[in-house]
Amino acid sequence: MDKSTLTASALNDFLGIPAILSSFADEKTAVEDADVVLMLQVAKGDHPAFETLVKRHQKPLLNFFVRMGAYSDSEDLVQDTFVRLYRYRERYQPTAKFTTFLYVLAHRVWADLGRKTQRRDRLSAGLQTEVETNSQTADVSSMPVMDVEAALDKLSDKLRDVIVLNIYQGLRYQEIADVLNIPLGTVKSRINLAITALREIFHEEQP
Amino acid sequence: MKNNPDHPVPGHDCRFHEDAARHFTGEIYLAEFQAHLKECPSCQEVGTVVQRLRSLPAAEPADNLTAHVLAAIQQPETKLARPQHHLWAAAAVVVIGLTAMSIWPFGKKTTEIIAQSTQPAVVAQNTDRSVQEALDWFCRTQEADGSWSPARWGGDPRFEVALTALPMLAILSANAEKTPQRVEVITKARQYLQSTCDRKGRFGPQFYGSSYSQGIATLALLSCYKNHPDQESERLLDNALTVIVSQQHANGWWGLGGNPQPDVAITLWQVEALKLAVELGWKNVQPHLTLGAKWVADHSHADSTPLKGLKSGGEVDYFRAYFATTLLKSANDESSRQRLASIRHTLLGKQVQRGNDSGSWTPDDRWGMAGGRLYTTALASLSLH
Repeated sequence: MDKSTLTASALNDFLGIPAILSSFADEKTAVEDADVVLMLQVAKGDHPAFETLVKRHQKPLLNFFVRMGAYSDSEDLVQDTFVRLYRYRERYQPTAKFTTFLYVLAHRVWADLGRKTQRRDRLSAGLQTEVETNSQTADVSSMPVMDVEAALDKLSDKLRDVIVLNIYQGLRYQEIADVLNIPLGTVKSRINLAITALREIFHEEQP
Repeated sequence: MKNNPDHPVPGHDCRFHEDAARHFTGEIYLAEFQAHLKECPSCQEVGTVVQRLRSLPAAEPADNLTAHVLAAIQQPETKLARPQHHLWAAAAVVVIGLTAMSIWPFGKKTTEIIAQSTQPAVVAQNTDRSVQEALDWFCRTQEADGSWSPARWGGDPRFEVALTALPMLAILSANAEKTPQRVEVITKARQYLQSTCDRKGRFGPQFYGSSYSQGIATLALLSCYKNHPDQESERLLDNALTVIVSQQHANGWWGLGGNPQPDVAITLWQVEALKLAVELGWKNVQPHLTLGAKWVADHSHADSTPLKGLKSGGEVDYFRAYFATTLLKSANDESSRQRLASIRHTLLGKQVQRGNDSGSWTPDDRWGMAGGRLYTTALASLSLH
């Protein structure tokens, strides 16, 4: 997808972020969070501090987008997330854990891009991989990986969101609630629904 | 999700049901749960699912990702550094762009029109009003079933699908789907087009010119999907694109049914549809877009056989005007701006100003016998906005 049109909407989206952050007010301010300290340095124009943040979080962010269903564009999405973070630096307030804020941005980048497009892309790539695997030598070790990816693709967007943030990104339920701006109880119920759905999917795939 | 009696839903009779997953992710720890786990198959299943999910290996970022990010933040806010794999999409646009530019074989009469230099700013002021009048005409003339009837407006009834899709494109491309009336018009037209699509993804009656219908209807529904994506449309478009791809000749072109000859006009519509499809995520049609665009590029000189069919004997050829303005709009040089303004000035002068047909264009070019007033009005409108 040509994302040249993404930038304008991305900038507009920033206008909504302070409102979301205000919902974090009841969280303990994480001033001792090393990332928060780095981000405050970035706000003062400290470039090396931003580079440190990028190096520290690029891999988790990349895996976030891959698990969400991105394929060829996953590194673009990481880049867009960091660009949004950088452009927000002067308005940044350490009212929440840094990673919570980072995933708010990442989730918005993902939502802006359009999940269906990414999923379709990924499914096509998966099918291609499957054809290549079958036509050459069967790589047994890769099969469980394909099963899990295919199972994630079958989840609805809402269920996939919570599973990725919890299982792969290691966010706690309350942090997920903050990132997605939903009640804690909704996070619980969605994770349980997702686990139930995945259990069914894995059972259905058994010979 | 259906229930499997052999594998009851976890936790229906388990007091740890709500928090079982949290135990396995380490968010909470209760010694009591560890004892419970040995006796509870449902909770064991939850653990198995979590363990299986975690079996996915982590992806590694490219070595230059940090450098890309640091370069991107130095860009002005409207220009993000784009990674290299986007270059193909840009190249495709350029190929199609250059192709259509060179395809524009300005006839003698048209050259004279273009020579009538008109100030772009003045023309721009008039085009918005003109387009709105055209769109109003379309809203007035839509049939109750959502179609536009070629028979009422001087066209060939067999092209009803294509001549319903063209007004849709005119409204959608003008970003005019804003008023309740136009939303309703587009909704009805979309439903009509979907109703004409069979299970294989083919639109309307199958005859020698149905390739027009296929390309233009697919393009119109892709434009709708771009604004309002839904699964039903996605499935239909999968099939419609499969038909387009299956009808492409090995050399990249498309033609009239039953006639093994390339047709530039038909090919350009299919290429436009494939281009939008790729932009919206149908990456699997990308090779066909490449092939089609290459064929057009290879046959774009004015003397090549396929292009002879595009030469116009009339004052304005609306089809050529549409493809030329599409490309001139993206050009930045003064010459292109002047050409664009001249074409638009000519089109503005031909719009009907009074009577029941006000806002439309009279079908007086070589394609008017087939497309009628719907064709000329849609393509003139598309050329103006």
